[in-house]
Amino acid sequence: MTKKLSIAAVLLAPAAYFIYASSGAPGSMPSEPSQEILKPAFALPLLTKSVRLPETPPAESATEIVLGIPVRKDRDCRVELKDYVTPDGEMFSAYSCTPNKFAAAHRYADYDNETLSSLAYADADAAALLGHRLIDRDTGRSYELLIRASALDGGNIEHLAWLSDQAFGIVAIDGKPQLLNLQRQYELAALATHLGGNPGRAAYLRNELTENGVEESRMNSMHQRVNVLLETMREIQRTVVGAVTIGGRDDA
Amino acid sequence: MAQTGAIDIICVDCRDPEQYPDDFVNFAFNQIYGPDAWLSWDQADDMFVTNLDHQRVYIDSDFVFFGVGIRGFHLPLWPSNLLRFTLALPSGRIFTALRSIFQTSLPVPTTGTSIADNGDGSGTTGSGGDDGDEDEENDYFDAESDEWEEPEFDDYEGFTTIEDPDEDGNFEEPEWCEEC
Repeated sequence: MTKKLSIAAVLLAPAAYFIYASSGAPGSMPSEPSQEILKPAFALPLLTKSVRLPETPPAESATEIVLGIPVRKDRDCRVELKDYVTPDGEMFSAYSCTPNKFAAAHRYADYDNETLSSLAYADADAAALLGHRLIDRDTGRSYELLIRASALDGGNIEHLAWLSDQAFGIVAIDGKPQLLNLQRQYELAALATHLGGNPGRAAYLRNELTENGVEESRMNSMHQRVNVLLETMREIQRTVVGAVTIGGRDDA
Repeated sequence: MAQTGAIDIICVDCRDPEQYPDDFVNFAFNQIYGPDAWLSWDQADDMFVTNLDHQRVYIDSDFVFFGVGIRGFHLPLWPSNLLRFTLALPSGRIFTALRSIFQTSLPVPTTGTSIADNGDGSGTTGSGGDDGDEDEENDYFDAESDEWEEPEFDDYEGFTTIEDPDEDGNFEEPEWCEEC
């Protein structure tokens, strides 16, 4: 009985928010929601740990009309509408927002890959930067480096999310699901869940996989891989830092 | 996908969308999240992104929720902190991509993931499609392989090892390599 009540409470809490938000709260739900996909205005961050929470969707008062379109007041760029000429001589107009200041360069931006590789043993920033650089040429090595960066960074799931997005981001082409990318994304999401990330992400990807016919045996294989990755991260921490701080259970 | 009110935004660094759709995805993301964000939510829901070759891509963005489905009705319960981008290319091809919600800019042009032109629209270099026939030396990226290999985490070589001195407290002379 207690268990049933707990489950009901877990289910009803977000449902209550859903009803509240759809009844006129700022950033309310569109009138005809697609199945599980809603507009970004309905973002509700839950159980995120290492990834910084998404910004609160700006209310109408946080926007203004510039050059005929609504834009954010807190932007740090200059909205422009310019004319461009195509290689064929055609002219078209397009908007842009030119940043007011340049982004600061990474502190290791001038380091070559070999130097970064040496630093990557114990430096999360170096491992992450090299992982970013190698993602097109050597995805496996990039994968390894970003897992390492996450471990050295105390289980920071931003590295896993970046890897997931940039290496396995395309999930469908012409309606055909890219199962390999979905699987790799699911593993990283499940790993991130162990590290305190949002469980909704892994749950959504798992649902996508099962709906596309991925069998339970393959899911188990992925869970096994997650456990190995988690243990690898712990080992990296144990070896380099001397203490294991990343948590998680082994039942992905 | 609604296109009412979608504006055209120029992306100077975006390459051919047929080969590098991720350029457009990352660029669209940066208009919504991160330090360069400037579009209002309503405006960001759908947009056209055009590169300097006037290749114009329609992009629809949605926040992804995990929910429960009862007889065809889906109740969104749990935000996944994912944005789903649907790209309609000039050629008519449709790409769907996921992005995590960051507060940092994503790279444009991207450092990876070009789409291999293998004729059937499947497969991405560097990450593979669902055909599983493209790879290579690393089974880890093989979709159809039931067996999987533990990813290799190389030992770091060339680092200092700790050596004990001899009885007199002296260390052994290092051997220098002339060719090194």
